[in-house]
Amino acid sequence: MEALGYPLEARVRIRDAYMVAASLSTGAFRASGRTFIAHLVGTASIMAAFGANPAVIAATLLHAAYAHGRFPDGFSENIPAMRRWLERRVGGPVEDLVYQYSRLQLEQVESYTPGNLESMPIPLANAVLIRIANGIEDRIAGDDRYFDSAKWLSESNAQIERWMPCFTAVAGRLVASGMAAILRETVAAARVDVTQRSLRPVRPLNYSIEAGSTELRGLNGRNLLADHTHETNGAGASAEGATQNGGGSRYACSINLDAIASLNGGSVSCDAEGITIVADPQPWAYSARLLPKEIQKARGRATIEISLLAERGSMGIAVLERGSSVHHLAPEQSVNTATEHLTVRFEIAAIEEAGEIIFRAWPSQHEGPARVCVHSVNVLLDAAPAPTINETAEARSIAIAGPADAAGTLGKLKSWFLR
Amino acid sequence: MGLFDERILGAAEHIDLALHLRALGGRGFADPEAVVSYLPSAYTVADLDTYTPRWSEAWHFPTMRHIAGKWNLSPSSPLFHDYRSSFAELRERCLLRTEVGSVPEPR
Repeated sequence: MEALGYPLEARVRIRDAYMVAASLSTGAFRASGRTFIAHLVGTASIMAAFGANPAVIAATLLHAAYAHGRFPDGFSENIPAMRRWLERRVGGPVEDLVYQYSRLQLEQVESYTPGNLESMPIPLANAVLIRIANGIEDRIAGDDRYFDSAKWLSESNAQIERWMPCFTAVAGRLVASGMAAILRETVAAARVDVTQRSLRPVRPLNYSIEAGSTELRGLNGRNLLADHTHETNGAGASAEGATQNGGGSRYACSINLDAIASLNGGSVSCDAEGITIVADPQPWAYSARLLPKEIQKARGRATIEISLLAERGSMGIAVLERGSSVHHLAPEQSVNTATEHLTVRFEIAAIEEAGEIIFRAWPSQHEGPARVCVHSVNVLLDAAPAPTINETAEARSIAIAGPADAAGTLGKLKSWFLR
Repeated sequence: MGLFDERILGAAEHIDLALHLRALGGRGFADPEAVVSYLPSAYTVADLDTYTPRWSEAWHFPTMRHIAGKWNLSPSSPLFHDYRSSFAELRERCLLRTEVGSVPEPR
C-alpha cells in the first residue's frame, strides 16, 4: 500500500477494516482450502492496484460481510443490527458501500447504463467496480477450479457475461477500463476450466461441496466429565475436574456446547434438544466455532478433547491461534462416518495462545447434508486457572455456557462479541 | 476589490475573499439565521469531472501555498492544518481514486 502511494492515515484505516474482516471470516474457507480472508485481501488488492479510494478498499475487504460474515449470534435475521455493528467499526461511508454491494442487482445498474450513467450515485458505481474485482479474484486465484461443479462455474461465467456491458460502461466512466478487460480475460480462461475435470476433494481440504444444507448438531449441555469417565493420556477425568496424571493434577474445564457460535453464512438455533446449525447451501466451506474466552486466565500446557460422532458426511476440527483466522496450534483432524464415535485430542503447549476451536462440516456426496453430533468439548489443564466469576467451590470447572435456555445463551454470546 | 483570484483553485475562496475585505478596511458580519449550502448531498458520476480536479493534490496544495504567500500567513497556522487534515475527507465524498495507482488499459 505504501508503494502504491497510500498515506499512513489511509493504511491505518485499511488495516482497521482488515481486522474487522478477519474477525467476521474467522474459520471460513473457500472450497479450494484457501482462507476466506485471503480472497478478501486479494480482491482489495486489485482495487488498490486500480488506485481506489481508501474507503473503497476498506469496503472491499468487507464486501462479503452481509453474505458470509459471522456477526454476533442472533444477528443473522437482523440486517439493521448488522449494519449498526459494522458502522460502529468502520464508519458510515464504508458500511454504506458494503451494503450497496450486498444489494447490487443487474436491473438496478442497467437502469443507469448506458444512457443515464451520469446520474448513477458514486457509491453504486464503486460497488460495481468491487464486483468486477471479485470476479477477477475468483478466477486468477484458481478458486474457480474448485467451484461446486462445472455447471456452477458455467453459470457464474454466464452471469458475468450478462453483467459485462454494465461493467464495461461503469469501469470506462471511472477510468478503469483495464479492470473490465482483465475480467473479460479471466472469464475466458475460466471457460476453458469448465471443460476440465474440476478439482474434487473428498475430505476436509480435499472435498466436494454439493448443493443442499450442511447441518451440525450439538447435544445441548451434555457434559462428559459429569456422566462419564474417560481416559486421557492414561489418566481418568472426573466430575470434580482435578485428575491424577502421572502424579500431577490436571484440571478439567468443560465447555458447554451452548457456546457453539454461528456458522458463517448459516444460522444457529438453540432449544432444549440441543444446538442445530444449518449452513447456507453455497459452494463454500462452512464452519462453526467455539469461543473459549472464559479460559483466558488459564496458562500452560493443556489438552483439548472433543468427543463427537459423524453420522453423515465428514468434519474437520482445528484449534486456531488466538487472534488469527489462519494459524493452527495443532494439525487439523477430521472424522467421518467410518471413524465411529471418537474423541480427538489436541495437545496445546500454551493454552493462553489458543483462540477458537473451529468445526468444518462437509456433506456426503451420496447421502446429503452432513450430520455430526458433538458430545463434549473439554479442556484439561496442567495448572489450575485463576478463579473466574463462574467458578464454584466444588469443581474447578469453567462454565463457558450461559443460561440453559436458548435466548439466554444467544444473549450471552452477543455480549461476548460486543465486549 | 477586482475579480476573484484565479490562482485559488478548489478551496478557500471564501477565506481569500474575507482577507481581501479586511485588507481594504471592510467589515465582515454574519447573519446567524442564514443557511448556505454549496455541496450536493449525494454525489453522482457526473460530479467526478468537477471534483476530481477540484480536490486534487495539483489544485489543493498549490492553492494553500499561494494563500499563505499572498496574505503572509504562517504555513503552521490552524487554517492550513484544517485544510490539510480535511483533504482526504473531501476526496472521500466522491470516492476519488488515489492519484498514483493504475491498472493497465486494455490492449
